[in-house]
Amino acid sequence: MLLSLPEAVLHGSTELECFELVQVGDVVMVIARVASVRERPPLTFINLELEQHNQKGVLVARCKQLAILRGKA
Amino acid sequence: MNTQPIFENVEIGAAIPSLVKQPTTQQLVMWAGISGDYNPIHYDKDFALARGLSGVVVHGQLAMAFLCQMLSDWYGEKGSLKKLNVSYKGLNFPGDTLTCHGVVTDKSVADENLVSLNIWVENQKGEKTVTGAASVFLAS
Repeated sequence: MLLSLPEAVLHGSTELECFELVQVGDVVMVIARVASVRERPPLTFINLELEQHNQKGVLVARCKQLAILRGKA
Repeated sequence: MNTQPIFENVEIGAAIPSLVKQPTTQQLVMWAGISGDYNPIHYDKDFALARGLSGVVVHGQLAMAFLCQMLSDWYGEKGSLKKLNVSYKGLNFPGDTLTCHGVVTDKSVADENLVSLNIWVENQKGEKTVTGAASVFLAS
């Protein structure tokens, strides 16, 4: 979920909410957005919000990730 | 194998069965592959040392997955995970002995048989390296 971020990234926290069970054969689409970026040198804190929908458009889970970078994003 | 817990029988303050994990470097490579987290601090010792670490470190989310395994081992086929929050407080290393713990903090019938727990990962030094909370549905 942090594929596009630089190598110097560390995880700060994870929040996960599950709304529906995901069944075998379901197709799940994940949409991730950068919710906020906060710089506190030498660190940068990036909040990511991810939503997962199944093939019916039903929200099955929501996840928030705090990524911590050394330097600027 | 744990017996299936029933919502009405769960007591606030009770500990659920703990889970002991001893992560290996092979497991970190496997986790990198399945999660897509290829940060070299998790598999390249020289890279990790150059970053001031004492060696490759366990992915935070792998430690979170250990907590999820502890929870799912407990709530069984009739239960399900509703919410999980964790903070990564310290580093874990291959070779560490990590013990996952969970203690019931609340239960609510009005909120669809939800059980709340404090959860954490503790290393062999007694340090809590991952701390958090979870909400779990349990069948009646």
